Amino acid sequence: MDINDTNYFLKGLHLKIKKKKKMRFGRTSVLLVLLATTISVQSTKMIYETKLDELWMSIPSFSMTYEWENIEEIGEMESLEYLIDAMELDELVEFIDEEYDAATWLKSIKLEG
Amino acid sequence: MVDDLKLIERFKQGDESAFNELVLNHKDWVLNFVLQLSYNKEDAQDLAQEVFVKVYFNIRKFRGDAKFNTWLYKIVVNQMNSYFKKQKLLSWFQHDYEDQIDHASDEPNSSKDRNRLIQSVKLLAKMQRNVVLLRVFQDMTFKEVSEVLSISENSAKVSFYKAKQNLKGLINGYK
Repeated sequence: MDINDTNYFLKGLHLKIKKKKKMRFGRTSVLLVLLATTISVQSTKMIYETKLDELWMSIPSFSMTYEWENIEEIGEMESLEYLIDAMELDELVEFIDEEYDAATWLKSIKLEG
Repeated sequence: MVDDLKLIERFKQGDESAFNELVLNHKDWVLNFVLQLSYNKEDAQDLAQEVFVKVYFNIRKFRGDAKFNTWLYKIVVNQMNSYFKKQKLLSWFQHDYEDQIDHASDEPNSSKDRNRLIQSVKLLAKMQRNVVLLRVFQDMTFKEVSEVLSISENSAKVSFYKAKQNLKGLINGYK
C-alpha cells in the first residue's frame, strides 16, 4: 500500500463517509419509527381512556352495598353431626375416647342406620 | 493552493469537490503526524481518513473564528487520544504492550528510543500528552499549542515541563 497514493486515500475516505451516512440514516430512521410508535400508543391510550371516562359518566350513579349473611349459631348437636360427617372412623374413635360428652351423645343416636 | 476558508464556504454550499481540495491541502501533514505515532501505515491511513470523516460531518460547526489548521489539529489530537485508548484496551487483552517494548530491543538504537518515547508518551496524562504531541511531534510553539488546546501559554509550558519530568522517569524505567 502506497500511503502517498492520493486517489487511494480519497477513495477510502469517501467509502467511510458513505458508510457513516448510511449508519446515520439508519439510526435516524429507527429513532423516527420509535417516536411514531410511542406517539401512536400514547394517543390510542388517551383516546381509550377518554372514551372510558365518557362511558362512566353516562352511566347513572349507583351504590353498591354488601350485606353480611346472617347465620344462626349452631348448637352442640349440629356441630357434632358435622364432625361425624367430616371425620374418618379412626379420628372419630379417638375423639370419642377423649370427649365423654360426645360418647354420651353417641349412645343416644341410632347408629344402625 | 486555494484558501481553506473559501473551500469551506463552497463545501457548505454543497460543492463536494471543495471537500476533496480541502483534504488534499492537509492530507500530507495529517498523515505524517499520525504515522509518527502509530505502528503501521494501515493504521496511519485509517486514522487520517477518520480525521477527515469528522471534518466532513462537523465542518458546519466551524465558524472561522480560528484558523482551519487549529481546528483540524484539535480533531487530530482527539483522534490520536482515542487511538491510544483503544490500543491500551487492546494491550490489556493481548498483552502486546510488553512485547512491543521487548521487540524494541532488537531494533536499531534510534528506532528503539523512538519507540520507548512513543510508549511513554501514551502513558502521560491527557493534557501533558497532547502538549507533547504538538510540541515534539509537530514542532509547534507554545503559543500555537495553547491555541489548539484552548489553554493559556503558561499552562502549556507547565504541562510540557511536567510531561518532561514524567517522561524521564518512564523512559529510565524501561532501561
